[in-house]
Amino acid sequence: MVNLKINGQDVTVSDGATIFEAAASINCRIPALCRKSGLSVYGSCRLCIVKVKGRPGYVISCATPVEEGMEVETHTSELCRVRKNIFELIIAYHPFDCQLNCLTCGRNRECELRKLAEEIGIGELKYKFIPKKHDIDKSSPSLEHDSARCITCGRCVRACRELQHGGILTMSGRGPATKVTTFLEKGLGNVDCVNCGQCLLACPTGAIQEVLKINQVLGAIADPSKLVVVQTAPAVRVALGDEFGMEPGINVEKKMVTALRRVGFDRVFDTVFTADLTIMEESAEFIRRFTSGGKLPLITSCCPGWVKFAEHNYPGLLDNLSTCKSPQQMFGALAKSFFAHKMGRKPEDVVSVSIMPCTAKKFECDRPEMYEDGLCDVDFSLTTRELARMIMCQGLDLKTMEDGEYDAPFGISTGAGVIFGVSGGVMEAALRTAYEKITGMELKSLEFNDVRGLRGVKCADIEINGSTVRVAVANGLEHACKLLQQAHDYHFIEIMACPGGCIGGGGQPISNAPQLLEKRQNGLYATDQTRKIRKSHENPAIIQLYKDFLGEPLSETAHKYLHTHYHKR
Amino acid sequence: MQEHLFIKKFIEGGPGPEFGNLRRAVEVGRNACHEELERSQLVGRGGAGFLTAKKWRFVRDKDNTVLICNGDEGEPGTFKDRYIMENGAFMLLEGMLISAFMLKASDVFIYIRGEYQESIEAFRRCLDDYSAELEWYRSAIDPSLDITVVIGGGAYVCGDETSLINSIEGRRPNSRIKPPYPAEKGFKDRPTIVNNIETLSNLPLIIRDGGKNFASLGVNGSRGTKLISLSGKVKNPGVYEIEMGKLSFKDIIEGFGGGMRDGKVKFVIPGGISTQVLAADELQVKVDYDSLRTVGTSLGSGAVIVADDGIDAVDVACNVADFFMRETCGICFPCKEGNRQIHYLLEQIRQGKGEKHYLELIKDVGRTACLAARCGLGQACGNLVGSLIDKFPGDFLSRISDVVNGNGGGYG
Repeated sequence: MVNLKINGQDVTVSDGATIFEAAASINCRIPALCRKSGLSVYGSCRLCIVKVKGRPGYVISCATPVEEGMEVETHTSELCRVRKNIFELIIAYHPFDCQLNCLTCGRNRECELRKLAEEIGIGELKYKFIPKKHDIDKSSPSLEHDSARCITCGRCVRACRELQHGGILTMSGRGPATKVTTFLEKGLGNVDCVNCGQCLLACPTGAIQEVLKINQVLGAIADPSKLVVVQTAPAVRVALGDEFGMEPGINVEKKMVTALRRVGFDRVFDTVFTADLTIMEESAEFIRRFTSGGKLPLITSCCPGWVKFAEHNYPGLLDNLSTCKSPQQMFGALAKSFFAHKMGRKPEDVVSVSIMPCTAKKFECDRPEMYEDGLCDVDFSLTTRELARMIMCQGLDLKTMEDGEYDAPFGISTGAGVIFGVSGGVMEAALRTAYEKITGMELKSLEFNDVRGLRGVKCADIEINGSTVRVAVANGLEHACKLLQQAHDYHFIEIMACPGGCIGGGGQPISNAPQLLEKRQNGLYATDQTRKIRKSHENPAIIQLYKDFLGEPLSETAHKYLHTHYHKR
Repeated sequence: MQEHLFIKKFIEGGPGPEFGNLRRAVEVGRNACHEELERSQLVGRGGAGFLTAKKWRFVRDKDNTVLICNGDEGEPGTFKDRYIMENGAFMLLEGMLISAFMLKASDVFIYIRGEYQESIEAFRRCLDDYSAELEWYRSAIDPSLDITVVIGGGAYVCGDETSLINSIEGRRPNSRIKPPYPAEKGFKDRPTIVNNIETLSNLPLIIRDGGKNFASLGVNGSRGTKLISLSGKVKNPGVYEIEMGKLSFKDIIEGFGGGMRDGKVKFVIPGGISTQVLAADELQVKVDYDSLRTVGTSLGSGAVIVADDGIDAVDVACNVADFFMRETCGICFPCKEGNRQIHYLLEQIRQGKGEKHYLELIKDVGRTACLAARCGLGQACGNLVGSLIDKFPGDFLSRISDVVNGNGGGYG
């Protein structure tokens, strides 16, 4: 432990802590912009400078380790003045003019610049605004980068490189030409970007945003000739409340269902239903491969970020990827086939919308493999944040919504499908079904604790019928890369591109709430715990669907609608 | 007036068949060499004026040290390293080998400004000419000695040693966070010493004459001689060698520069564009590190640029601000945004669209960058412009309409 004084107050922190962390431990918040926990130190914003007694000048608190006996001042009048000046200089080159102000910025509700302005105490702005051209990269189906709102703090660049093994975003140019861009300025849609959106979550301003589809969806709802169905992904329900000031991690699915109905969707369904369906298909696929010497390990394919990453970087493993479409796409395929038929509607009259914690899902629904007879499975994929905006735009407040129930039949789901939203959840759900299918016996304890939690890589050996199934789970592509070095040690691997799984997806509300991912994770596990049915193969609506339409898992019909293929990029 | 010929004399003496001072260094041993360096009180000639022996102390006990010789010479108005490389590469190479020997450095880099084609060729030729000496060094001292010539990509910020290291590693040239300092973790995380060409060129002389004799030249804090790059409106611009602390700027301008081409001296930039200008009435100040520090400026790299009274301070300020704005690495906010703002405000003034309080804003940004920027470039970016505003307020005010129209008072 190290003892030091901050603003005259004694502080004791562990060795290796930074001054910034030591100050935070006594609730002294030093303003900072380029710092983001979980990412490397960058030292560019210089807002976190502090005075250390006996050292010349100032040091940046985010990069300076504490030392025994150190005496630190964090808020002297000169420090406050310098911070104010630095901040105002940033603002002077940020488009706050009337053509492009906060009113049109997607991050206006939780913009870090606005929060910092409060912390730093900005009153009037003394520097001159310097006109700035903006130049929006619209090449990607998922993400847009607006260089005018970008302050080049490098957080997106670091998130991409350090969390996602991406290196898609980079700094180019120097001086006034410094900007965040992609390889040869080709644009996010033309490089190996997997659309995970972790850059967006890392961005303190509105420079990176998802490609908005709200207006298209509202247009479809307003069109009386269309039957508009919506599905909601598991992880959305434990995050949407954040946007309405609700307790992080609580499950708001019942209020969300009512809100979706009031927004005007004709049917409100649940992606958890097709998560159960995914388990039926994927566990059957696993059992077939495992028992008849097929290609192993089997690697999950629910995550479109991971799938594209594999297509770019692991072409040798593409045959290991499950051929199952993701739950989003399975849902879309059923909506335009089985459901349309059942409703007596033409497939082209059904508009299928998904609410996802994800930006890569926008890319996924545009994949050419995801079209059946010229129609796409999913027409529009919205993020959790877009849903929140859409609800607000209709004059609704989620908090005040009555409880509602999903529509049958695609709203009937199990606890196994719910936990798809956390890292390890697909694996756990698949094991619950695979175990019972292989052994024919009831699984005593449904919780596979070894694959739960927010660690980047999790492994377990599962005994099934006397043989050991070696499973592994990774979340965050950096961790996935580490795990895949030993891919062939395992029989079954789950990979989710985002840290924590879909609960930490790039489409989720942006929040600095402490233990955010833990709370969302706990929310989903608690929901699983309270469900009466917790195994996918016991879902009565699933059983009925196989009886009425699909036959059995891996049948020809199942292949036509529920399976896909991949290609090297 | 005569130049003090010390480095120049060695160079003019021409290359010998072998490196006598290197042999001598090897003969007396590393420790003795380090003692001589300590006694010499040599300070780095790149601009920061740090004691070389003190810098080297950080790595003396370390293995695997990398030596980098900085010949990027990006400072406007500086051309003395070019003089050394083109005329006395053999002296530099001997200095580098002595340094490599003293630091036990097997990997030696020399980073030469890309535009300096002649310097690059001269140094490469020198490596060929002295291949026998290099072989001798490899057989007698270190078989794995490797000297790599790196051609600079043209970034001014590479004058900052951590940016230079990034550039050699093939990365974007921007400064690193210190600590760790290069002596601890530099090139590929190895202990690294970066020194200027002129600094290392002094090593053969220190070994030849002994540190004590070397230190008999100059004054306290500024031992030895300094190469001055004299340019601007003087009759005879060029590289001149002076004994530090003995001559004033007036002496240099009149004695070596041959006086002004026309007009009178308006101001002198004493050490490159990161330093504060000296007005005509301050030219009696002696040319050494401490004397210049006393008057609030710095000897920098020794780039003395003389401006006559036909030159407008606003034009100079705009030019310098434009340079800094374009040459910031673009990472740290006070420097990147500060220089953008300084440039913008000065341009407004130059075009007659400025307001009086802009002058205070410019100085305020300069102070902020000085206190908060990450590397020397940003910390010093407001020096020259701020001193022009302080010393020649009339030039600025005459471009500001509310003052010209009689609505404002004097600057202050």
